[in-house]
Amino acid sequence: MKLNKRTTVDVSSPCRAGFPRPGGKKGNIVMRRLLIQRLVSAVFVMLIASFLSFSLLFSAPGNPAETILRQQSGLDPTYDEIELFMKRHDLNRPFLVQCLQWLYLLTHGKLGVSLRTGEPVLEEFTARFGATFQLAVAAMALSVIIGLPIGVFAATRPNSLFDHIIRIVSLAGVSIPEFWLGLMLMLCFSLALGWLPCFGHGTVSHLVLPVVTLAVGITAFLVRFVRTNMLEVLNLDYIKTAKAKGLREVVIVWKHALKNALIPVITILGTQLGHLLAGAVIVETVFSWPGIGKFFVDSIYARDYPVIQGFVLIIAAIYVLVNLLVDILYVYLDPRVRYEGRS
Amino acid sequence: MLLKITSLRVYFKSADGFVKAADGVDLELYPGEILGLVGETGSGKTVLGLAITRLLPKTAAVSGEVLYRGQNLLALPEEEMRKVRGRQVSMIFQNPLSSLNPALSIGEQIAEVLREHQGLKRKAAWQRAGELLELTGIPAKWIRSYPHELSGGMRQRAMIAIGLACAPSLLIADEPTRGLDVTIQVQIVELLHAVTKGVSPPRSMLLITHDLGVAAALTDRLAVMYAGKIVEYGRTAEVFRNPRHPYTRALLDSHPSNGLIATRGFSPSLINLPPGCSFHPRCKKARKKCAHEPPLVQRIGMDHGVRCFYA
Repeated sequence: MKLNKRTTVDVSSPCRAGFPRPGGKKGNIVMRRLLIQRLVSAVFVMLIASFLSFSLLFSAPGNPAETILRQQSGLDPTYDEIELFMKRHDLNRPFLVQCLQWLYLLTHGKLGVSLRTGEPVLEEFTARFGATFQLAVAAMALSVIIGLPIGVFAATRPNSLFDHIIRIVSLAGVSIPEFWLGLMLMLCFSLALGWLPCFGHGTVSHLVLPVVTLAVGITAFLVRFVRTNMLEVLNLDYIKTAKAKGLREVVIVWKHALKNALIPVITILGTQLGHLLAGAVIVETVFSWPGIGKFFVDSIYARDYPVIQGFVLIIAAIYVLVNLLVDILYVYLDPRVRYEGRS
Repeated sequence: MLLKITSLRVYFKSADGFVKAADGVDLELYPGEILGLVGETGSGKTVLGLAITRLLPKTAAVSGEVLYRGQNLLALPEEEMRKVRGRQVSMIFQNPLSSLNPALSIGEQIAEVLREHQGLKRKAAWQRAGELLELTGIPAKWIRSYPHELSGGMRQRAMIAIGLACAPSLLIADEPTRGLDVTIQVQIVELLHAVTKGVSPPRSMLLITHDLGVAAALTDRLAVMYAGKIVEYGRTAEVFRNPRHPYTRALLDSHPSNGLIATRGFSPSLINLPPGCSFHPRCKKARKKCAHEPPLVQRIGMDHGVRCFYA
């Protein structure tokens, strides 16, 4: 990328205090400040998110001891059994004490142990996150590869036949519920045609159906969003300038317009990626995909406090990280952002 | 003759009828000449400029002839027209902040024209872009700066540098001084003079403006536009000294140096133009005839014409 190149131009210009750009001195300062700001806010976001989720669950009806004991033995637990379980896991202590205990563990780098499985929370997470990550990244990549060009193409020919078809198809795409689409694809490609496995995890062929199920909605949404943004940008003055310069349509659309239209698109994609990395519960359930989504939901049902708090903490961290990536991309896409935070 | 426009009509379809933005415009532009196109906002000046380079939206119905070096631009295939734009006919737009791409450095915005039309390689194009910036009064070391990092005057200079990149023989400048401080306006006028009259052979320019001061300072000839029609044309000095159309007079009187005398009424809607002469409802000299018979252009001297019965 050309913006990456270090500038050899003297930046100590007479009227302005130099031009900050990503590769340059000022660019680095902007970038460093961004990183520090994000790290500080990440700590707060993570702590507040886990505190909130814990207090919500604590005040909600239901008791982890009862649920988990019933799950384990299949029988209604007795009063004594419940008392014992609560005592063993410090569940009968006051709310704030439990919170502080959790924080104390956290400062020692521990997220505690799952009440349900007895395994450390961090291990439960890392064992499953790989599968979720695979699914999220593959679905995202597929959506961008297909959705972006289609959106751009539709915007360059508004109200053409192609545009109308794309609009109808993408409307259908955003409206189809994931569970239904997943089941239909399974019915079609694994039961009827026998081309692809309908559940499980391991090979590329296992990845196809769940990824497609996830990608359909995101692609359709992306097509519509890119189309709208491109249409808006294509009407701006600087596009008229680009035309007046005698540039080719390809250059006008893919360089002048897209670079500006991508700015809001990146934000949306960041949020989507964050969502996907937090676990695609429905798709993971339909395809028995061993990701974090299904495990997380089961833990919520069981009131497995350590798992919930730990997962929320890690997922919040992932969100902050993805947002940071978006911000870094921003700096490269929109030179005006490089001024942010300057006096 | 460099540019000859004959009975150019630009109509836009709207819900209430046709908007006649240009209604039978005839204009001539000679090599090395600066022609000023003046008139109030909404008189169709900008549309005329865009019609020459065919940059109007597809909804515009354009008819007539725009001969550039004997070639009718309106009949040219799109790909041929693209090669005319930026290479032979360049445009300089008003409001350079919105007319420059915010996501590309000014160097890139100049260099890409050179790469496209002159087949320059990356390095050579950037080298030349730096020279063009220097030429328009921007230090070449600012080549990597972005439009938002420049002042209004600097942006307009960058815009002019883009327009000049391929050394076109015709510049169309649409309100190049609008929205700039008066002192900066003077600098831009001087720059425009330098890049047209100051090169050899001199370059032609169509200067679209509502600022009579700018028109007086730069132009050789003047065409006054009112409601989609040219109502008076002639040598600039002649038109200023001896304005014959009542509208031209009103326009000159409205200039602050002449006492800021406002013309009564408003410019008409381009959808429902008054019958006869479009200016008659506001005209002090209007008589019965003006209300139902459209006046034709009368030649009243060497290269001086006026669209009025009683000029």
